[in-house]
Amino acid sequence: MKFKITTLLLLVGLSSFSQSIIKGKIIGADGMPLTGVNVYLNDTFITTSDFTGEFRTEYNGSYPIDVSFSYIEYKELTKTLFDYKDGRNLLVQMIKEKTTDLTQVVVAASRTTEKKIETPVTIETLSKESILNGTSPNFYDELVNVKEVQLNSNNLVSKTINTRGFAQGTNTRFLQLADGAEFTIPVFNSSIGNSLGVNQLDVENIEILPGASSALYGANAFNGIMFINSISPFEKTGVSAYYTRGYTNQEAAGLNAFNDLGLRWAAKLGGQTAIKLNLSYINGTDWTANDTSSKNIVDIGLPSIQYFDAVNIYGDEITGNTVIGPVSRTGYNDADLNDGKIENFNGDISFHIKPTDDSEIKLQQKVSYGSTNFSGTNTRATLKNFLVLQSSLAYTTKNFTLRTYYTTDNAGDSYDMVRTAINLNKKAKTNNQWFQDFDNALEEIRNDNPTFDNNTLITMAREFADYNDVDGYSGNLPTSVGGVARFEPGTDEFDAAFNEVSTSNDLTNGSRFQDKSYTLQSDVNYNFRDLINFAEIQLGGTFKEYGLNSKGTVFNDANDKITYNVYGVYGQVQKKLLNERLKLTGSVRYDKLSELEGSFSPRVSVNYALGKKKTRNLRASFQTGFRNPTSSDLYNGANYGFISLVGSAKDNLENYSQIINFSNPLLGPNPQTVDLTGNYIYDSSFSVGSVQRFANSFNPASNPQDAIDLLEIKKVEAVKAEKVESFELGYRAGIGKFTFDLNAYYNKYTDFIYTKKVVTPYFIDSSIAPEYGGIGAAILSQQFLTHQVYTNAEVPIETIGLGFGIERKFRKFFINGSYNYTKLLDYNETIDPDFVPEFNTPEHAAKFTFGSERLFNNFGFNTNIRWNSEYEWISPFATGTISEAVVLDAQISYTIPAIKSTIKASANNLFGEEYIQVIGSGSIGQTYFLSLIYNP
Amino acid sequence: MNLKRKLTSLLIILLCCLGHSQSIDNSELKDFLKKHVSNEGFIKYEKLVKNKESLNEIVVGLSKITPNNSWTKPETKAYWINVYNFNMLKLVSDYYPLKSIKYIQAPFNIEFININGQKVSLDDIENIMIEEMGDPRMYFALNNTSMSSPKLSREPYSAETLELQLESAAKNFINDSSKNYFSKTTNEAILSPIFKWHASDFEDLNSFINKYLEDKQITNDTNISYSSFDWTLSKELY
Repeated sequence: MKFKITTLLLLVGLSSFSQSIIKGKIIGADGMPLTGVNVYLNDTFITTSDFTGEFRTEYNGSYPIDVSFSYIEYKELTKTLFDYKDGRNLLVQMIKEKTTDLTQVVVAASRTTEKKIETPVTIETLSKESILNGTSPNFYDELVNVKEVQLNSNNLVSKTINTRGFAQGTNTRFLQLADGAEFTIPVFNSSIGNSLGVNQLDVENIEILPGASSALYGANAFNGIMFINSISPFEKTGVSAYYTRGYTNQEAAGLNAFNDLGLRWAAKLGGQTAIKLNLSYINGTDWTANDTSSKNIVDIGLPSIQYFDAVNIYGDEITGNTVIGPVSRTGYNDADLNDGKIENFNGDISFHIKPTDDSEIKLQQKVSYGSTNFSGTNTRATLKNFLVLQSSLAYTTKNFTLRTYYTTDNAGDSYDMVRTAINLNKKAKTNNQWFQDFDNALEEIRNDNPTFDNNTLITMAREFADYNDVDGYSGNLPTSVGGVARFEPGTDEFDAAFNEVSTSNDLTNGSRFQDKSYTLQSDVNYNFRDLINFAEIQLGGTFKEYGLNSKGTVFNDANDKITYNVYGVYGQVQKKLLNERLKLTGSVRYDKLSELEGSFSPRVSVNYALGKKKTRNLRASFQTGFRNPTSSDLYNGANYGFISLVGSAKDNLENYSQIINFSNPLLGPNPQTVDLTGNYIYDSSFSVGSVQRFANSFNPASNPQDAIDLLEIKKVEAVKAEKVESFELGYRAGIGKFTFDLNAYYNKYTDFIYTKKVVTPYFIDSSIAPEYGGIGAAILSQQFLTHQVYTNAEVPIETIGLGFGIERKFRKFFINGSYNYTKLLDYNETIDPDFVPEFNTPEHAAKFTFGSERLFNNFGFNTNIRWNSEYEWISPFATGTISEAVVLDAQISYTIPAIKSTIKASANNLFGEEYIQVIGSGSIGQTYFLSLIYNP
Repeated sequence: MNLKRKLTSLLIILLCCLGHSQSIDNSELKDFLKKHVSNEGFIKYEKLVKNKESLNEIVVGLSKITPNNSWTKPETKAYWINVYNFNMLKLVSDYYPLKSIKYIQAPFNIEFININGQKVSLDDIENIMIEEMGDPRMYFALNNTSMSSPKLSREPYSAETLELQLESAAKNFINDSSKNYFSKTTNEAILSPIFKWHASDFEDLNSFINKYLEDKQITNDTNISYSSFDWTLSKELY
């Protein structure tokens, strides 16, 4: 080789030392200027680009010199300048980084853009690609495969997610946001699945923060928060569509088809305006809920034919005192009270205007309309023609966000299944008539047939009370005291009675929910990064007004609508130190709900990056979170006959009233009247436990006072905010070709909000002689009502948890696995014996995914397997054991690039064993489907 | 050999040489480019170094063919573009790894290209052929491995497709926003210094650019500046 090889030294020798200007313009792949790009000269930070993408600096050192550019989400770029001419006018184009677990950018963790690996708290994400490769029939169900996430599914439409314990059928402790706006349904104070959320085709990415985030996102982000971000119509225009046709298969419901179709359309109307439309429709069949095990854990030792309250049989909650003790009325099966059909339409249309390159005004209208069965915290309901509307207006710039939105629901023809069954029964025979018929029949048959055993007698008496006849029995039967025979499902009489009950708003004989509640919310946030340099400072606030309007069918608002409001303000400071390796973040938020005391929730967190390329990150955080009571905790007023729910807002306690007329010989011959006000219920009720102990041991003939002394009247404190203090440590790293995430946390909850049942006697008279029951006399005469009250636990509870995730992409495959340990620690149960934490979370959960987007040609596949350990599900509605389950899902897909389409065939729960996620909802069988996705 | 003499002799080769028209077989070039240039136009240098032998064979093969006046203009143009690009690859493959060809001293003046027994440089080829051929589009077909350079085509240039190839080279270059920036909101443009260096070859620069520019036109009012040339080795970053 005869060329002269020149060394770097030689060039340096030739270079000049004169002062020069290095300047240029930085643009993205689309040719738009990039603002805020960091510019370095030989690794020393010099300046950032301005809003036109331009930067300028003086330089008087030697050449060659390296000039580097770094910008979040973009690949770092280095250029070598060999002399001053090379830096006179640089045109720098930066391109976005390929998304991997290490390079992915998230916003939710600190309300600012940062790399997922560098967040100070645990964050989980679900990308558009993972949704496309998912095995589930829709993206929301795909969340079940995300680390930390617990999905509690009723059916294809109705489901909730949760993280870190304390799951509920309607999860009021987990917040869901679509493009920054809550899609909480006003009447439930919680989201139902993706109703009012984001169309599957419009999902850009999903970020989930497990654990409390109240310091940043306010009171409801107590267990966690999920952000679903949609695709801007400026970024993706045109038509996308999908159609899924599948079958659900369950032993109880059989094989049923479902259809799910969706459309996204977006267009730019000139450079500054755009429009977006999303539509989706799903129909199918619910998993039949036919759990006939007992709703409660406590077994009082009576034969189930006599006294039993099954999870999915309603009407049997009503018990009466008969000659043989308590007897439950005959109930109706869940499946008899709904047609099992689910249907949901979701749509949204939005107009977007960009007055400048970095600002946007968005006006959006969303609608969700449908029918589904639904397991609430307190009851089972059929939402029928349920409508939710949300109108929103948002103005965002690079540093400023102002969003205001109004959400309202209309319960349509929805009805409460439990109340339907109770009132169907009452329509046939009043409870008095039924129990009297039962008593009369039992006594007559027993007298005529002394040899019949107890169970036979009860069965026959029940049959008589139900049908005024006992099939095959030719002996004498009493004459019914009144009413008609039970309405038998499938008959015209049943249908007529059912329609009458389920469409009546009158709680004493009907079961229809009437609700037109609303929320009005405004959020504002400003990031001072362009004004203040030493740290990133943000300030923000939120205001939310609740308007409850259920005509007394849910809330205690029969006479007056209820309104109350919540506001919050917060601030955050974030500072990067030690060459941006150390990141300190501190935030504090103050929230106040109408008349309750306000709460401060601070958070401090630290993140430290290790490794040359900052690929290993340690994080630690401490935060306090709190959650305000929900509308239901505050203003509930639902009366179920066997129980009434009474919320504990100060004005609710004053306004709640139930006038009872009764008479009792112990109080004299005159009829009595008592007003069970909210305050009376909270101040003067017996605890259920003490009533049980009293009833079990009371004997007028032997030391009755001892039993009476067991009765406890304990004032129930009105509900206030619950609090959590949370410590978390985490480590996320890319090591070799793997990325890991490991976290451990400890949570301490104080004033945990819970509901308990109390027994409110019509009278308490200490002058009544012990042999007549003393202060418990009303209990003995069945003159009491059971109430569900809302209060805070007096004992703190603690949870600990551990999460581990590992991920790798190799050649064509992706593989990831995760494990979560979640444990409620033992606590002193004697301090507040009524309190039972509704932890509702498996101690162990593991997930594993293996697949390939393109295995060969255009074929791809994916498999998911999940395991959870057995756990108890406790809720005011029903309690039971959720068994250990192993679930396998798999899909194969074929992409046809020529028509921009993917066909996917998928099967869920291939092992076939049915499993339950929420006690009260149907067990989940298998799902098979074929999807055609165009231009995803 | 002084520049003038060299140019003259090249000119002779270009225009006066007598000889038989030789059929040009580009299949080897084609295979080579396919293997060593990505879809996005990035050179795979490591592979290039590994396959230096076959690159040498190609370069030697090109030296053996000598254009003569029986050749058509397209044949001649295609030949010189290929000679330039393959010799550029050869040069960089001899030095790789390196971060820029600027680390080679005066890379464009090294007389290492054998044409009919004469040693010429990359600069010689560029100057002489474009001047003679009068086709400035050829600038956008020449790749010098730098970030600011036009991309290397995965297809060797050939007489049959030359017109299409040059059109698309010009179009791709002008519309590549990393090389030429046309503001979407203001009447501002930052052009590649190639247009400045060879200003005299573009009779009417505005109309030349407008012919290829998509979605936008520049006018006499357009505020035009020229960017500095980025000599950093163009490499796929992934």
